[in-house]
Amino acid sequence: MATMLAPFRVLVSHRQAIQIFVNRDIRGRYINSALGLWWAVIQPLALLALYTFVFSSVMKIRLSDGASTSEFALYAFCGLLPWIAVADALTRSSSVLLEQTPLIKKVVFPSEILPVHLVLSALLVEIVGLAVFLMVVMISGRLPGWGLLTLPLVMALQFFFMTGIAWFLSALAVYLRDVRQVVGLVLTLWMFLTPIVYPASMVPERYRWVLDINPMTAIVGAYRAALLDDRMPAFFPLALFAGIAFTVFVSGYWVFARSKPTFADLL
Amino acid sequence: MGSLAIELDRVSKAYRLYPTPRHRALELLTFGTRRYHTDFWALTDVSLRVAAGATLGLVGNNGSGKSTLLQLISGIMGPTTGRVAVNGRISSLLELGAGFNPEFTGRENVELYGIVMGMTREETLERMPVIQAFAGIGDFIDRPVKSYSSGMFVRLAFSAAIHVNPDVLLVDEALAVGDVLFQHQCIRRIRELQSAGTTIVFVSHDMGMVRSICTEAILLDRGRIEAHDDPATIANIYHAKTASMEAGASTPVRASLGTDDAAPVAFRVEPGFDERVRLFRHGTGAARIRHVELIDRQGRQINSVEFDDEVILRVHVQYHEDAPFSILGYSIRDNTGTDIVGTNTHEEKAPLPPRLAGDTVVVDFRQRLPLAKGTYSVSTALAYDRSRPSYFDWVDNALVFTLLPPESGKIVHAKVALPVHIAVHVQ
Repeated sequence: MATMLAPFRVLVSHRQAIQIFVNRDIRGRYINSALGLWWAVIQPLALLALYTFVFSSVMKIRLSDGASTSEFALYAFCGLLPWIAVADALTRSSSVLLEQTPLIKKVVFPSEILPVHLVLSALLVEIVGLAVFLMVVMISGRLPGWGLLTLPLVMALQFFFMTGIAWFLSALAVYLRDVRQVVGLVLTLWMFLTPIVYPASMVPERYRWVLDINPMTAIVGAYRAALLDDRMPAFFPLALFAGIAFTVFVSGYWVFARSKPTFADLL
Repeated sequence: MGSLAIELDRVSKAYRLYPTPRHRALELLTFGTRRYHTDFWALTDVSLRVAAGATLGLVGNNGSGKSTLLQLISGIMGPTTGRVAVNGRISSLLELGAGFNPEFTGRENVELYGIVMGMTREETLERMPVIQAFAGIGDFIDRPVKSYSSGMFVRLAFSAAIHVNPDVLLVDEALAVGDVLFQHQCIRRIRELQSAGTTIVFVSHDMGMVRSICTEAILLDRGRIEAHDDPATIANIYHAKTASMEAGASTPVRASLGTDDAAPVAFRVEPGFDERVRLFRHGTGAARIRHVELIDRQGRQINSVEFDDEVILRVHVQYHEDAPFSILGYSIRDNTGTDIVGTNTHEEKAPLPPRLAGDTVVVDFRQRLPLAKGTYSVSTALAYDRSRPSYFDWVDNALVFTLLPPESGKIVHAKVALPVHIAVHVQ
């Protein structure tokens, strides 16, 4: 039981330090750039414009017969937002300990908060993207409904899922520097195994199981349910994902905590 | 006997050395069933108990395992075998400013440091003025750390580390930084921490420092504890090990110099004095020390003194309230904060006259300083009377000066070289 609670205790007891690190990271992303925090708005807006153009004017993919092609741009972008956050946090966490060597070797420092702050920072950027997205959706004439209220829950589960993997990857990368390269490759593969830029319905029946065992499918599905379809996310995939998220969260921390005493030797 | 602050039970530490990173990967992938590394034992079978409130000196040559021991105590590293237990909050000065982010301001960095050390944001902000003043970097606190000079950086980092009120403070040669005044400031703060009950572990090659600051010491040699004793004994063993003692030679004793009466002296206020000593002063403020200076026999103001030269320590005092009776004293301290010489107007039977509000007085203490080379600081105080420890004004670090080695080439073996008559009797 103590093992199960330990990662939650980290979040509580170091909340102020985590907050400062997140704050720094957000500012660090945009510091010294002329447009500053506006980039958090410009980037998703530009990306959305690009997607709309590609999917409605070039590729002309439709979600279903009779649906408009711009529909699909929204669909793809809605899936892309959580994915970008996952990819960003996991890529960065696979090198965060290597970059913060002085903190780990020379200071009595709770290194477990480093991966956590990357996840939170990525999620904050995602939230700005979501706000932009929501505005575009509303302008295009769709008012969000009650389904939107499930989004915080989905994002919380996503946080636990990401943090667990981030802990695992950051610790492993100390032993095997190759992790950084591997993560880049795996993330590319993972993105295409998730129905982000294609509708799940396009996948032939016999490969469908790949999507079903992919936890990202559940996240992306829940986002679309909340933002585009205004319905409650499907219960079973989400409950399953919740189980996976907490398992990953607890075991990721376990691996991190177990290997932490050797970090200073290896860095 | 109080509780234990630090307990090491048969602790050993091996570093694994791999020929290449690939070998480490291979070992990891075979789950350690195959060995690809060789061990380097940095510490072997170290057992150590440090009582809460003690100050332990770690002495030893380079590579003897001092830094590894500090890292194990701090918890930055785990031991290979054995057990390490530490009670309380640990602050470490293993490398000053490690973890400071150059893009952010001094204030932001200190804030994060405090929170990482386990204080709340409120506590950290509460201490910010003290940390800022101690570092003496003024408005730079709100500029990015990358714009700091290396001296400012070190002062801020040190200031942050010693103001988080740790239960256990680990210091790795960090005191050898900063200018002279700052070093004196640091020693004073360390003494404060000592009297507040902080346990300190202190690595130094400076035996004078170890003797005066530590309550006990250990000598490490190639990863083993060779001796654990009082600091003086350890310092002697270390000296005997590292250097052959030079035979001391004595020189004849010099005649004392004649004295002449001082010309009338005008009261002066040193601009910037109050700002400079703001942190080091306490007292009622009913009278204030406004200026402290050191003057040579030619009447010039100096800040370096030839060995055994006669100098005047001149203290300018201003009274803000009537004071029928007051005593002015001083103390000259070495770089470890130990009082070397000092006295006061009462002991020397040179009473100060009754003073009214607005009056001033200038007092000269004339004496020779046959002291070892090094830096010294002067503390001065104006007391109400001898029987109770209450002060108009008490100023530490009022003045800092350097003592130059004797021109004759004579070696001063101790802190003070008093006249000695030597008679050699040969059978």
